[in-house]
Amino acid sequence: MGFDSSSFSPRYKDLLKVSCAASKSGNYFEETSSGDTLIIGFCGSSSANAFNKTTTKFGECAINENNGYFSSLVHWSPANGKIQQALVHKGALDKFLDICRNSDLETKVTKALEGNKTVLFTGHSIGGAIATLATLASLEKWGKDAPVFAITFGFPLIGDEVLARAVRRQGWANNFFNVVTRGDVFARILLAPWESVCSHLGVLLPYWQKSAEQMNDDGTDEIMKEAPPTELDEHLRIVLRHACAVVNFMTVNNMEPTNKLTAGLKPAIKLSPYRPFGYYLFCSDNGTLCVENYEAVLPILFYSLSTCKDQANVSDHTGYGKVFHGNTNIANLEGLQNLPLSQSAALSSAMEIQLDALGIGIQNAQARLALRAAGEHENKLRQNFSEVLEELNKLEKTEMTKLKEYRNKFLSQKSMPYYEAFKAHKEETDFKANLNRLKLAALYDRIENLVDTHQLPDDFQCNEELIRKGTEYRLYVEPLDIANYYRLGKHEDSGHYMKNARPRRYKALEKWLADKKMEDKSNQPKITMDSCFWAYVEEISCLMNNPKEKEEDVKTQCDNFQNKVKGISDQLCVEEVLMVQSSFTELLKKLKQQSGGGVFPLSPLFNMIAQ
Amino acid sequence: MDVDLLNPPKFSVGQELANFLATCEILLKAWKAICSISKNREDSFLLIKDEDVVYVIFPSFHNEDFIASDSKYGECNIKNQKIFSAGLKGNDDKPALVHKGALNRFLHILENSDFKAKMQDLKEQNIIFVGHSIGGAVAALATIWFLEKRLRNSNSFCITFGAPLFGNATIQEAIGREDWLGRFCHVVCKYDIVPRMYLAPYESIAKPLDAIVPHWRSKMGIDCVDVSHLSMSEACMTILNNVLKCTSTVANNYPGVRSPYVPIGTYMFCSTRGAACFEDSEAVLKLLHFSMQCQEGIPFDQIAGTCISEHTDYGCMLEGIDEALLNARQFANFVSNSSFEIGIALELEAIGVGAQDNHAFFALKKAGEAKNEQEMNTEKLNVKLSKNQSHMAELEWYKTRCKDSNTGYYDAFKQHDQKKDFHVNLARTNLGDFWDEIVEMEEKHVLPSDFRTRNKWINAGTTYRRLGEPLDIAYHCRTDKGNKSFLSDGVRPHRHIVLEKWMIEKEQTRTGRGKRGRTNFASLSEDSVFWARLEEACKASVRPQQEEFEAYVWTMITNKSISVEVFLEQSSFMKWWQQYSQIQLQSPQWRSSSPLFNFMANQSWN
Repeated sequence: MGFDSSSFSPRYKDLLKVSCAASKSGNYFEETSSGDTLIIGFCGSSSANAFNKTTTKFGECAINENNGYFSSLVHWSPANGKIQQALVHKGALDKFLDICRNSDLETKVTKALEGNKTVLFTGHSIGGAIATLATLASLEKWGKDAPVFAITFGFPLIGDEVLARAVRRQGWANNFFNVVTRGDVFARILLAPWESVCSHLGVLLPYWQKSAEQMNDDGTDEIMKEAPPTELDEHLRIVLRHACAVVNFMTVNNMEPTNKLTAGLKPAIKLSPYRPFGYYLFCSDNGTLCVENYEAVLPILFYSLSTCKDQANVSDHTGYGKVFHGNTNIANLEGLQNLPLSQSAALSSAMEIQLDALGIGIQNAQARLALRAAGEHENKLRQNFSEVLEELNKLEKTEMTKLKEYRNKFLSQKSMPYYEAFKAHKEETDFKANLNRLKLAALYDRIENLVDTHQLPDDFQCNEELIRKGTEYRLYVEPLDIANYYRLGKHEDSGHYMKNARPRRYKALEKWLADKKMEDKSNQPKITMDSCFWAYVEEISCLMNNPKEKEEDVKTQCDNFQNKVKGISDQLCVEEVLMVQSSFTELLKKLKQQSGGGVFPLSPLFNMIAQ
Repeated sequence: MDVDLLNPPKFSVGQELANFLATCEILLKAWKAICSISKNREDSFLLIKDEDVVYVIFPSFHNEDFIASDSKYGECNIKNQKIFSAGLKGNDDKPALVHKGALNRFLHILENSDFKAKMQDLKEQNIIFVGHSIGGAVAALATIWFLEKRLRNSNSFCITFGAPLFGNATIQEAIGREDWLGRFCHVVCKYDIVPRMYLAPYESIAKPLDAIVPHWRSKMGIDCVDVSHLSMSEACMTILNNVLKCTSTVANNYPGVRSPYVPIGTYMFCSTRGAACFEDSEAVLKLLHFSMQCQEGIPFDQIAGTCISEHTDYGCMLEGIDEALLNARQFANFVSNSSFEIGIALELEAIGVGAQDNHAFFALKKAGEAKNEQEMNTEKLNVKLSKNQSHMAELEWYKTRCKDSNTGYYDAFKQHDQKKDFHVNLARTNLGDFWDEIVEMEEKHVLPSDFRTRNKWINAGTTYRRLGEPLDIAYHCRTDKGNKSFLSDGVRPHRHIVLEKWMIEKEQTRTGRGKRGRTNFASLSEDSVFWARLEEACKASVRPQQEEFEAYVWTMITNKSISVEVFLEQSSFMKWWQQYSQIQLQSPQWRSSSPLFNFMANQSWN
């Protein structure tokens, strides 16, 4: 999907005006309406205060610290079931929370959205970061389709990889636009440790502020007469050096994801955690380059600045006004995977002109290799995506269909659940079913692994086709995995299925379904909706058959089991689990016997056996 | 073999890796730490904590460390010391050789300082072992020593500056097998003599070093001695001459005696134009020569001087690279549009060898292609392994059915009189072909060096061997007319021997949790040649051999590593037992003393 530049350019000027107004007014934010759009501009910051409160190396903190605006922006790992918080810049987060608590921002946004208006947050410098956070909070509250957008100027990074991936997973990435000029050092500042740059900011920020004040309302500001402070040189060097480390680290991983050296050093080296998401508009004297490939953003941030020799341009943090007065050509960055590397292969396209203007022309082989690697990364994701979907479709028609037939055959014969037949494993059909099970397991294991290692698009786990097929797979096939586990007596070596052996593919599929909150259409389940049901049955049967267990322990466990089954009784496919040759039927009889005439929570189920 | 070498690698990461290392501060910090080591700490080591990292610094520049004269190149067997594990050997069990001077220094520190105790305290941290010059070789040995402890929560890494080569191809193989090669990073200046000097025999470098080492010591601020300019410059020329002769032999593959040392780990070459990293040992060996060899326009004595001065100049060099990286560089255009080839060209430019050097270019190209082939082969095998799951399932199902008919799959397959026996034979041969191929590829080095220690393959191989080998034994017994034992030379398939070796070696490295005792009998006998041993026992005419087998079975029963299927009514084992116990029962004390007799009489397997 390309970026539609025509809808963006005319508004550009207005947006900057609003954010400039905000930074001058001293208010939390300024607002203005244009047609059916509410524009809210946040104030930038002229002092290093916004940064000073940090205690971490890069000024990052957990996004959900002291607030509940961003609860979905986390990462869940199927490997250990742990939740990892996204990190954001603390200075920006604190300011945002301050504004939320002390202004009517939320009310205004609510009113606008309820009135079917589009809300556009914008801001320059730290104001841009606040605009991003406001947009994230609004999308979290109002959902993916809410018309809320962020346009930032000179503050392109705000959160870490977890945040960037979560935003893409939710499908929000297209709501963010970040405008960066080629020479704006401040825009790259989060790539360096806070400590290494803070002393310069005390001098540089007031200078930039002064030059911002000279920016008139039309944005046709003159370049500052005053020479930039001497600290600028040193500042630039430090920022570039840290940016260089981050960019090359990322590029190595794009080029060779299995590289051992970076893997070995990773725990010992603390690089800037900030990673891009959304669209990026890189502005130079010759126009604008629009970048959607997020892996390409960091290399361009670095190489465009490192090749920028003109001192005047390096202080470009406040030069956003003049950008749209110059050349308004805009080109999308595309086809990176085949980006020309030699003069003979290069054509003078609109994209090449923009790349050249950013210092990433054909001579800058190293930068272009980094972009190719970014393209390769994107291509690999796309390729994996189509391969996996194709494989899913293929297996759906063959292995999955056969397994359904296998199960339904037993269902219609009404004497033995497929679970028991598979566990007995007497017939050739059971063996064939096992082969089908193995093939499906291999595919879903691969999917789970690809998602876990980020080798599929971040929103893949929300893909409806995957969730639908995966859920069906889980409901039909997980009982076979359980049967196989207990058939081979693996529980004696490795403990019970639920605690120690449930494959990650099932945990992941279950979690993805829960995250998606898909509507369940069928009221009367034709299949048991808790795919682990048989594992509960096996576990309690083992316990009851083990003479070594203490009686009271068994009793408690039996009660727990009964309550659990009672809780999911409406999800059971009773015509299956209560068949004559079902181990659950036997278990029920046993439990009934045990209860004597006393309380028997499962009596409704028990009574159904008779029927 | 498949013909798809037409799939060249897409990238070469050498320059990006070096740029990352040069700017991530870790090298500069490590160098500064080295410079802070003062003379009175010279006998020991130094710990410096910085953020979450502990730097362990080793001293350099003991004259006596440089030259070890009991062997031609100063090498010695690492196994003589009890410090390193027995696993530190080649794939073919050949011994690992290291430089004796470095080894002695490391042992000295280990024994005469609180090094061990200090390392105990550091268990859960990021540790970077650092050394300059011969101290770099000591740091590398310390890293190996530490890695062999296999502590789960610590992460260790080794950085050296201007270190000489320290180990031979065997120790490199051992490190590669453990997948530790990525933990060594050696920084080498374009002309620094030390990294290549052990390619020459010690006697050709010993004398000049006598003059040069004091000079280095004073440069690093350890000693303050005056070295006469004249003797220095003569020493420089001599050593460069002698070393160049040997490096050129190595780089050009001329016949002759070669130094045993090879580069181990990633080498970062630095020049005034930039830096690049290389991991392929052969390629690095060549670059050690190409980057130092004389270039037109530069007088020999000047190069000789640089060879010595660069050895102590890493600080300046690192800062220079930093500068070179941040200044926008515009490169000459290469004709190629391949990102892989351009990557290599940029690397050669950066290390000052120049992209037009064809020897170097093709060495790197070949190395990249070989590595890529290894990766692709692994991917292919992954796919094949999951396809072969169906054959394994077939074997397993066959086993289940045989068990139900009270025979056991070994005996059923040996009789081979049913359709299912014929069917399963197909799965058996397919699996055999698959594992033959893997073993062959591994031996031809077209798989990654750590392939044979990867859990996935160890586990798959062991399961296959335990399930599949009994069928191979049965097949052999049924078809072999010569009555040759399965265990005699050349009969047991090579794949099983190799897979068992891989497993045993892996087990030896699995420390910590130790082996959990079994509570139930195994579903597959752990010793995959159990049936072959049984067949031998059946044929054996002498009693001691039979009694030996009895003892063997009893051990398996006590540690529950035998499968219960062995005790099925129709099994060959039961037949053997009937005959054997009949004979043994003639001696009355056997009945009371044999635990196996009791076990069998009570049918205790149930």
